[in-house]
Amino acid sequence: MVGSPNANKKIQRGYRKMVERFEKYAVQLREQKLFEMEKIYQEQFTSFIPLFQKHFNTTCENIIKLQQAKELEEISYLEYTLLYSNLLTKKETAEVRVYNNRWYLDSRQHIVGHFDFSALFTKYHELSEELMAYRKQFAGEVSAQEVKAFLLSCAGSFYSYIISAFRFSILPCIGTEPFLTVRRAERFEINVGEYMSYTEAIYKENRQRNSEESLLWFSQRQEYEYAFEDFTKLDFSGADLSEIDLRYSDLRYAKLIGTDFQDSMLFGTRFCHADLTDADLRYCMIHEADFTEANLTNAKFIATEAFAGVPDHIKWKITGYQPVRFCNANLTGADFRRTQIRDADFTGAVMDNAIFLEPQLLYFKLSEKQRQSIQIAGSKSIQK
Amino acid sequence: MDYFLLRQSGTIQVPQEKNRQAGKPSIRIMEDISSLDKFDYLSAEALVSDRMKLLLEQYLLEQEWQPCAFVDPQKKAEKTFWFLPPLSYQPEQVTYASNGLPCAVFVKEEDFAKKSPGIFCLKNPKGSPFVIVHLSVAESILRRGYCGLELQRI
Repeated sequence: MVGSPNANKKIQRGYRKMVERFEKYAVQLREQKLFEMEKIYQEQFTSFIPLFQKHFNTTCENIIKLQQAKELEEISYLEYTLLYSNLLTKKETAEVRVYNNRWYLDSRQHIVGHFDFSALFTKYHELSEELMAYRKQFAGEVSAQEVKAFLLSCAGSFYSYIISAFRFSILPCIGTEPFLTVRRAERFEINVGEYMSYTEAIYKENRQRNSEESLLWFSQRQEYEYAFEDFTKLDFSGADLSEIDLRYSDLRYAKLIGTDFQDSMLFGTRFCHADLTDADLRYCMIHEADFTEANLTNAKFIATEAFAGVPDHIKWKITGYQPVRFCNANLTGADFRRTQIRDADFTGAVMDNAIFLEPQLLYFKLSEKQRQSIQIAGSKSIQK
Repeated sequence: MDYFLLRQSGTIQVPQEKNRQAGKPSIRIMEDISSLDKFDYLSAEALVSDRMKLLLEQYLLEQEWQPCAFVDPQKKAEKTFWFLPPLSYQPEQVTYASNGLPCAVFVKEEDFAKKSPGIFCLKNPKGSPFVIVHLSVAESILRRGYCGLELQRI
């Protein structure tokens, strides 16, 4: 076999121990550069989006040409893959490959494009240059190859920003041409990650799924198993989905009327255009969830938690969260008392009679019109 | 195609065993075995470090590995390397560059992910066999910071 499913489980990633003083410096510098990358990601995120979208659309056009020429059949996987072997030769490009349903075991896997991410790898460059310069102080004690191995061990963390940026850029592309013309299998995924290793499905389609079977699956309350899974347009109205882990699940256009999500993990969950009338989102964690154009009439966000960025700058762990999005959502009568939502984007949201507590208003960027339409808790008109 | 030539990077003198019998373990006396720390692959005899064997054996199931122990009796220290097991698979076609190194291999489509392993050896008329690894193995090696080796796309 070319690959074994266990190939990456036993042996830890990383680098060999180096001279202690150099290693300490290298690790500190890596943390510093990653936090600097985090700052760029948070501040310039919107400027990255067209870069991904343009490339993705071009890739789709290439695939269509290949399919029309009968050189490519319907595809099951489309992947933007970080190749460490490319980084070795200073090529900062992700290879875009398409696969049939055998995925990595597809003997005819096609390369359909290359994505140049060097503009987003500036902090990795700086880390590389500064470490190579610092190495000179160690006169033979630290080899260039040791430094290269250390740098490669860091590349995945920097690439995680590309994964995250891509994840938030993809949605507008999948509802439009040229993507819609691409011939895809009933189960289809777009992944961004490493070759035959850690890879994140930023979008999945499963046209075989139905509401009843999904609810049965949900009843098992599995951890992270529902991430990026396709539950679009399904109906879970009135269902008890409390304490469920639906991180990054796709619930766009779903019917979720009166659904109980209490105490659930909804990081990055896609609720765009969903009907969440009377839904109960109390005590949920909804960091970087997307409620764009959702109907959240009378939804409850009491003690719900969300913030943007990273919780601290002590040790870098993952890319920071993007703000939770309520753009153009209908939040009429939604209850935000004691909510822990911070940094949310309410652009264009209808907030008539949405309920807030006075002291928490400073955490919300609301338009003047929105401020005038909300209710402040404590007034007698509010029903508890 | 997605294949790489595995090469040793850097030089090191390691003791040889005269008339070594293939398929048998080897024990060799060596001073300063700490110099082996910077190597995970020794091309002269296709030896891989203990750490690298952990990875490669995932791709070479049911193969028997023979150890090659380097012993420093004065320091009472030992370091074990492993002989890459004999790999019989040969690709459909190999192209060699003018310097004698393989520059392209072609694996039959029906062999991919079946008969063709992620690692195979090509005969080298001038010395030790060339070790060829698939992209999946090359990427796994690079992610783990192995030392004293190079991967050259062919």
